[in-house]
Amino acid sequence: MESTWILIFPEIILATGGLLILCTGAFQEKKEGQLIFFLSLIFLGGAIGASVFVPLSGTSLNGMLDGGGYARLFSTLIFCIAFFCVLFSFNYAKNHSFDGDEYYAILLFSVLGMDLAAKAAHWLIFFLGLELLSISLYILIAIRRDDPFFGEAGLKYLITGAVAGAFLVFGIGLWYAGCGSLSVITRLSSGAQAADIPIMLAALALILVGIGFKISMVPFHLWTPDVYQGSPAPVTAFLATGSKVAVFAFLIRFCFHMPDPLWGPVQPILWVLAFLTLVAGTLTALSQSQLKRLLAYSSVAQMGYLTMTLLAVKMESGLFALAFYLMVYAAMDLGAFGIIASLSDEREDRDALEAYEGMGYTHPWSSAVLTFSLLSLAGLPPTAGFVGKVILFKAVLQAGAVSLAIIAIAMTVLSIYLYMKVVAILYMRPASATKPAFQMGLYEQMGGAFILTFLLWAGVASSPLLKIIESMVQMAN
Amino acid sequence: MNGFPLLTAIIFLPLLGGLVLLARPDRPGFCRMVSLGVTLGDLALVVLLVFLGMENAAGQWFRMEDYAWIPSVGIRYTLAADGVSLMLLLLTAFLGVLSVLVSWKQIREKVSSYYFFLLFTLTGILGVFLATDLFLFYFFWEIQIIPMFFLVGIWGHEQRSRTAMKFILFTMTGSLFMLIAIIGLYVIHGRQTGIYTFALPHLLETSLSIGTEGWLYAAFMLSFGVKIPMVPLHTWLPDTHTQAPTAGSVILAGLLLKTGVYGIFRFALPLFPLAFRAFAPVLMVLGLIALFYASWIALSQVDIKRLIAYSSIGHMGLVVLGLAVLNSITLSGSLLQMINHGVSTSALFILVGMLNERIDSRQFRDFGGLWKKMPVFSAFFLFFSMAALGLPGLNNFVGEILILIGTYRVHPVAAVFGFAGLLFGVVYVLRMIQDTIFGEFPGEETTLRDLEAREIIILGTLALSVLFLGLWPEPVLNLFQEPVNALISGIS
Amino acid sequence: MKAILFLLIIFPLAGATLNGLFGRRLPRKIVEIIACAALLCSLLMATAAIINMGGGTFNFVLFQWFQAGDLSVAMDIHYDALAAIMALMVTFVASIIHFYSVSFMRNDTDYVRYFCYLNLFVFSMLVIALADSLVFVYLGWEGVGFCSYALIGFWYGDPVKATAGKKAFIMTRMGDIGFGVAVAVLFAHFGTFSITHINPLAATLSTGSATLLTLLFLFAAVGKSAQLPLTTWLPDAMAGPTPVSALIHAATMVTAGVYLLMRLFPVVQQSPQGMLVIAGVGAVTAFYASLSALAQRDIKRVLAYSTISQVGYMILAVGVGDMVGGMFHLLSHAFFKALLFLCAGCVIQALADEHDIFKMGNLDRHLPGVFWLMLVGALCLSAFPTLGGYFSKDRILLSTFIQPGIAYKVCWALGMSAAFLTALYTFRMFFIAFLKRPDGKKASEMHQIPRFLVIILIPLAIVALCDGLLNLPFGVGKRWLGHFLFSVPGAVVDVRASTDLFLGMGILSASLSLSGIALAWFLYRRPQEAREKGWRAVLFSAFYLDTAYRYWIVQPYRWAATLLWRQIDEKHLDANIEGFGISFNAASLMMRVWSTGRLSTYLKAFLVGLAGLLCLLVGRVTLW
Repeated sequence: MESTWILIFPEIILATGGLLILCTGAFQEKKEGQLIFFLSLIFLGGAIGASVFVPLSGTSLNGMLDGGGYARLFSTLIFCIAFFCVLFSFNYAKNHSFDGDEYYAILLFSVLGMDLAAKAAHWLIFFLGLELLSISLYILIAIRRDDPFFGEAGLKYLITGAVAGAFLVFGIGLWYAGCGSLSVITRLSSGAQAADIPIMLAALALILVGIGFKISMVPFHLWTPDVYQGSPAPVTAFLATGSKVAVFAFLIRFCFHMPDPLWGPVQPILWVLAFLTLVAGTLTALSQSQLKRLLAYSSVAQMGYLTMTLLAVKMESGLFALAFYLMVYAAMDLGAFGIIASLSDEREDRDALEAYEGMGYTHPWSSAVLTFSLLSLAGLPPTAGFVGKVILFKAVLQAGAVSLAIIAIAMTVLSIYLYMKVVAILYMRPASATKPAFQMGLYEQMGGAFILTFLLWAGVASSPLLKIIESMVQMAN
Repeated sequence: MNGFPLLTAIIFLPLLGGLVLLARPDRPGFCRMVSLGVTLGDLALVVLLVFLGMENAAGQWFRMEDYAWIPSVGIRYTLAADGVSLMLLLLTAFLGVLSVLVSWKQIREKVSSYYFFLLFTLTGILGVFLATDLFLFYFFWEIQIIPMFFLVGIWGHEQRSRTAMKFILFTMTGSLFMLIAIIGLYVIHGRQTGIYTFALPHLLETSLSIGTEGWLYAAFMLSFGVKIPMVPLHTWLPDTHTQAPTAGSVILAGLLLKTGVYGIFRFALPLFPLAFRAFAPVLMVLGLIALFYASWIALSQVDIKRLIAYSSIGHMGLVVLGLAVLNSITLSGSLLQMINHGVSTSALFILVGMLNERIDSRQFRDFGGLWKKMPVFSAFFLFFSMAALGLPGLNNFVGEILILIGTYRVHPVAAVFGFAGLLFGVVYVLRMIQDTIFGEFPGEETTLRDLEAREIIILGTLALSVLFLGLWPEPVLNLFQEPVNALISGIS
Repeated sequence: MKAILFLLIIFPLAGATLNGLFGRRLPRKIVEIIACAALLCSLLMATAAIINMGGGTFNFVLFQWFQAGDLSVAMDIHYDALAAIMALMVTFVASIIHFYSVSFMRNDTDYVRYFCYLNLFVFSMLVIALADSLVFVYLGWEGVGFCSYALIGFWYGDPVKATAGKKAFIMTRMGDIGFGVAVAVLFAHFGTFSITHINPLAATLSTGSATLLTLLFLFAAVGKSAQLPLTTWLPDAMAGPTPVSALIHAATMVTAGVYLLMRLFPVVQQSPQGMLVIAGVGAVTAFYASLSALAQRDIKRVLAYSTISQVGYMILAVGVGDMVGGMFHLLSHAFFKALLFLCAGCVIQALADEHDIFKMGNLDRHLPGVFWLMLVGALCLSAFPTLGGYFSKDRILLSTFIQPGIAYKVCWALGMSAAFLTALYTFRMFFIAFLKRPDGKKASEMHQIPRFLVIILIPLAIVALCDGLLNLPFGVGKRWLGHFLFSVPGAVVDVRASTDLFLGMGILSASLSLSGIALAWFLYRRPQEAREKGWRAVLFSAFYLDTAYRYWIVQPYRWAATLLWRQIDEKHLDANIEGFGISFNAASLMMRVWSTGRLSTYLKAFLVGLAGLLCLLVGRVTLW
């Protein structure tokens, strides 16, 4: 029995952490961010430590949570993401005066939600985690009460999210009706005949809509740019990386365990979704004139690459590629959005591309981090994105989706234009004195430096990391 | 001595130097000295390698280094040097030193980062010439582009950022499709043998269906063809050359273009011999078209750098012809011609750069009568122009004659066209000479300072190598003999 | 022997290198001494070589040049009687011209460049003369081309002169296409480039390939020797300094083509048709050029056209298989034409760069020395009996006549009439330029020229007068040249002709040249005003050949270059590729219609998506 408690130790840490922060906030007379900031860092660090050191096991809590290395990998990743988001939040929160207890507490709660979603081996847990993360994100997005702009973004996310949630619940219901179990790891019992297949397929469609909304697959992605642009940069970073990683982790598990009679018909769906997501994401990004929107669409495109790789999910290499690429994706988007956060002043986020002209010379380090994140997004060596893309395309080709791979490569060419445009703006224009920006604060520097090194290291010496992932992934089944 | 990873040292020494530079952005003089030292050191290492290679040459490969890199995907860090890569390394290190010297006074702002990117490119190119693991090769293949993008985009002329974008898009389009092809080959080989590896020797054993081979070959050739560049994929080259700083043009014409030919020689040809033979006529025609088309267009240029850019498209056309004909004579000829073209065209670009430092223009209408003002400069200009139009005794002649005579044996008609194409070359070179050093000087400057010691050293070394390659190419050709034979026996 | 030949070649090169590298730091005297000394030494060597050779031939390799596969090229020497004569002639004429240049270029500040090119030229010419491997020959072949280009455009300040140089280079290079292909063919046949190996094997060639080779080499020769249809560069080449015209464009380079054909005579011999073509080209060119020379006003252009026509004779000689006659004419022509040009040089300097003969006159009194020397030259050129020019030309015509077939008779007729015209235009020029006339130059208009300019010509004049002795058809030293060249493959000592035919031919050609001179005296003795109407205009423009080239080749080529660049390369290729890229941007703009920022759109998208998924599933299921 106590083994179970050990298993959910990280979650316990997070929950207590969130509550504790709220209390300190309550008993603190003058709002003073430093302490709370450190508290949240400590708890997140604890959670990371816990999820690294807690011994692995199979599914636990009678099939509710996946305690396997695969799940563990992702929850650790999510905690790390959160850790960096907090790092990037500090100055921003101070300047925009929302560095109270509520921000950090809610952040921790949403992390908890993501963690649950990522680990969920049971539809209820998944839904629980999803709702927890969504509700906390609604608040985080609209955390700046004074600004109607952010309010709008929050509202959009709330409503669309609610609808998507509705689809999802209905889908889950049908699924239950189909196979009589809410466990994700369904082995279709011989009891389930072909008769049930259509129901389950319908369920599948609904579920895909719900999940597709979270990871902004085309055509469920339209909210993405608005919300990304509308929410405070650190929150955007969190939204773009944490929630996506979490939900995608679950989607991977779902597809991986999907019984073959379903897997057959699902593949074309995934094919089409991947195709749409890739093409629409990349193309739309081309003509964006604001960095956050541009990155929003680029992250849509990135999801396209991942969805494409889902076709290979049944294979060792596929899982492996997905895990690695999700990690890399988190790092590079964190880098990009984190830098935006660090460069934004109290009035509004630094968004217009013109505002970045010549920054390479006024802000060498921020631009360096941003550049590396962009190069990595473009999949150019010597960054992690390059290795990630190679492994990913390898998986896809092994799965035999040649045409899709070729389309994806064509899109990569376009995306190179996209990201290099930004790089060119950073380095090949005279510095525009219009928007003087902050220099990075200490914590942002730490975060930025770490991400930069990670992208570089994973780009040239990724083999140890890959070894870890390999070993973890092998336990997934 | 064999324990020491010499090849790795050769590749990464420039990069290390570059990183040192980044630390001291405030001291341009220091940066110049360091980068000069680094490139010289690299040259020394290469020369050392040449001597070591001479003494312990085991078959085709003089030296190999092989470590596991990303074992979980079967990626290895494998470097190997044979005669061809040796010669190209020598060229790279040599031009590296020169491009540092050339930029000595031309680059005045952001010196440290400039030299960093310069050295970074060198590292990439050196890697391309040494890698025999396809992944590693591709890694360096893209690495070399990125610093070039910055070099052109930051230190270039008027149109820089647009041109830099054009450059990177063209080259990347090619190479990304090659990436797919590489991975595809890797997967196919893995399926057949169960060994998933990018190592060239293994992949050579892969048996491909004709269709697949054709497609993979096409993807490879797209990438290499953009680099070489082959008509009609050449349109990025004139723009990039015109906009790039002198050293950029030197590296571009002298080295980057060569990576394309080298890629065909080392990878496309041995990997897909059937497809190569099948499409050889197409290559031949494309090569000849390039020769005529580019030389013809070159005549009508008003911008001297553009003229030289088109001229090098023409020259590379001849090289492609040599590759396509595929016998031991033409292959040696093509390889030699790469080196020749690297030397003489770089020299021309350097000369134009020096001119550009004195008269702030690249337009012919601002030149003329330079012999009166700058006799030494003009003498060098005439010398290298003559080398460019293939005067016997100077370097280009040997390559051309080898390619064409070798071609005649197999495809007389192609050879005849080739000889005729040389005439087209003569026309624009003479026009270039006349509009630059002959006639009367249009501007009002009464005196232009002639070359200084540094510039004379640069051009002098180049002139010496031109003469060496023209009068005694024997050693170089001997270096090529072994790899060429290996290739020919390998594909037949 | 080896050493001698090596030095023979290397001295001029050394001179050129020395002057090229350090000339600008050395005092003028030293530069001139280096240049002339180099020539004298190699003249010495040439003499030594011809004395030591003793009728033998020498082959040896200087050093291995390059090698790939089974192709190997060496820098090697093939020294036989032909080469010996050629080398001697070249070095002799060249050294005289070097000395002449020293005082001719006395006021030119750019003397270093001048002597550099001049030495380099002699080196390349010697390479042509001696080289064994055809690729090595090609080195010399291109080398002389380059030097001629550089020296024609020596006064580069004047665009006209620079352009003339360019023209010469391009047109000769056109001929070199023939050379290159021929070399390739030879390699394909024999797997070697060396003349010594090829000549013995020539008999194994099929007639077809022999003809092909002959025509290719002919084309090469036509380019270098300014024969039809590639004549037009030589008259323009007169833009260069006069000594250069004398050396390159009269005595040596233009005869290189002929020499090449002689060198490879065994190959040429294999193809009767080829020989006929050669003869035809020679004869027609000889006639055409002498006609054109008839109406020229520029003294140097007259000489240029006469050069073309005289070289025509040599080509004709090769065409009729009379190598000895050809060589004989080559020699005598070298001497007297050099003499004529150098005299013209004196005149031009004395008249402050005046080229138009109609603006001269009265020179017999102002420049007596030049007058006599010029007279010697003119007599030789117009084949005055008992002079070298007479014997050589006569022999060629004779051996043409005895060839079977009507075609050769036509050639012979052309040659004969050309001989007549030669005498006519030569003395037209001479009389108009030198005889007394009221509007002629006054003593006041004359400029002082150094005596040395005239004195140095005397040896040349003597040789020109006496070179008939080289190959007298009778008497002592009969057919010396013939016997000397006997060892050369394909050479015939004697023309097989009956004595009376021989005599008749001699008398005929003698009378032709005499009557030509007489007619000239009759027409041009008295003062003339230049007339350029009607037939004169046609002749003056050399039958509009040059103009035709400009309109039908040069202009369209330029025009096409611009068209290709602007229309094809920029407007289509480049624009289309870039347009393709930009089209994606347009697509992207279209995509933006979906991101309206309105919730309703987003929710609709949900439903559409769901519907799409369901349809897909239904489709898939029903199919499955």
